[in-house]
Amino acid sequence: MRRFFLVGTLFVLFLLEGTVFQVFAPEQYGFDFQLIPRFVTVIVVMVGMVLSPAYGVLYGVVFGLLHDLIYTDLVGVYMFGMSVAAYIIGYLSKVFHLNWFTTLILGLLGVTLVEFYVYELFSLINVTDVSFHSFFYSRYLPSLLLNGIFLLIVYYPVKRLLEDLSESRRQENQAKRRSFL
Amino acid sequence: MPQFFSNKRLIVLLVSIIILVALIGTSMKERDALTMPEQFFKDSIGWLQSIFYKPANSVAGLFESIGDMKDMYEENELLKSRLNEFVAVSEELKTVKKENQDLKSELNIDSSTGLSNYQTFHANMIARSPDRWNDLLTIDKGEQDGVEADMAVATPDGLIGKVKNVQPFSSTVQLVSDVDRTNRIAAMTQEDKNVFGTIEGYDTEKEVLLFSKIPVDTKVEKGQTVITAGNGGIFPRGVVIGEIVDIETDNVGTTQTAYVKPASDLYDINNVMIIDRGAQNVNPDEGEGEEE
Repeated sequence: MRRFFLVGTLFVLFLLEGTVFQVFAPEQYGFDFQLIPRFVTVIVVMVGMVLSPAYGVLYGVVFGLLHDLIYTDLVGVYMFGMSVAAYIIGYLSKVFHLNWFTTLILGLLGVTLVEFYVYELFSLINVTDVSFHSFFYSRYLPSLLLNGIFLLIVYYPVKRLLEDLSESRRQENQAKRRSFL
Repeated sequence: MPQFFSNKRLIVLLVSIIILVALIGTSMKERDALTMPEQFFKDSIGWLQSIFYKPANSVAGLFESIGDMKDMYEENELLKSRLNEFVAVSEELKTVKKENQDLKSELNIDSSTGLSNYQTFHANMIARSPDRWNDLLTIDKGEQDGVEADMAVATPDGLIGKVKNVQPFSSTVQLVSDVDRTNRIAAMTQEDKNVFGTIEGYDTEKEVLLFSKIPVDTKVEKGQTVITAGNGGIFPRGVVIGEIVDIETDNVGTTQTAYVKPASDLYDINNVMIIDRGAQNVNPDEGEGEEE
């Protein structure tokens, strides 16, 4: 039940990124900077941290593939990027004691990984010709701010949901082991 | 902390990098149509997206109209004064059109095969690619409504792009600002003498289109309007692209490049017109004939 809730939330966020958020995107009102919503990436990275890196990879593959199919015409870019980011951050998180601050830093590190990887890849295959300077200042930094605020807003509900999930998973595993013995 | 890279994981990583490269390679190729699962996903998610997009858009529209309210009086005065002018111009247009038709029929020119003959039909935008690397829109008309790949897409202000992929109930539009070497438009300016060239890409930092391959001895000026030329095969003649803001001679010195600011705001798009040049498979009642 909780798992469906997590998948449903991610899916709704995925839809919001392309629809509602685009209506209120700052370019419409003549601003120079870009705010790129990476809400799904933020939560997928949190899955990698709280549940396990393997689950992060699973969610990263599913939602990355969805992003590839719907919003780009290159299959595989986000699928690879999101899952690798969730895996790396998932392992890094074992070094830290997770509180809101370390989660914020690690989550933003995950967003950074995805942003830089996508930028470098798309520059390589000529999907974009934006210079690094303008990528960094008018796109990356404002987006980091947006996604940081998003992470702080959803931190407590998402963390609680994920901890419940991992708890119920542990109990399931124990029950299985007991019946196996 | 468990070991970060065991041998098995390293192999998995390498294999997935190979798969990534292969996937990008296959999907980067010029494709006529998307595969069935891709079409299915895009269509069903397009339907869900329209549920989210439309209410959000109407809320945004409400705020905008409140903002517009304060300018309304002045605008109204101005428009009233222009109204008389409009009557005179439309009368003139009518006579000129009539004359044109008569002359054409005298010369035996079949008007349906002309470069500038096209029909339009309307569609609503339902989503936009959230990462700004790909400038792709999704619109709510698809194959069932008569949309075909490569049709031109415009707003009332001017050209915004072309249809890239078609699904049964929705389609994907590639904006002119998308960096893609196949994204080229035959264009011209129309002052006293026609000047032909090609729109060859977009400068993301200056937010202008590059109108290049203009012979160096022809004179183009700032402020001239650039329209589609219609001899590229995809777009009809006479769709406004934008206005020239700057001109530069290329380093070889045989051609010059003009910077064209798009006439339509590429970020504030709601309703679009799909321009059907062929016009054979669209019921004339559905679309409205566009006047030149």
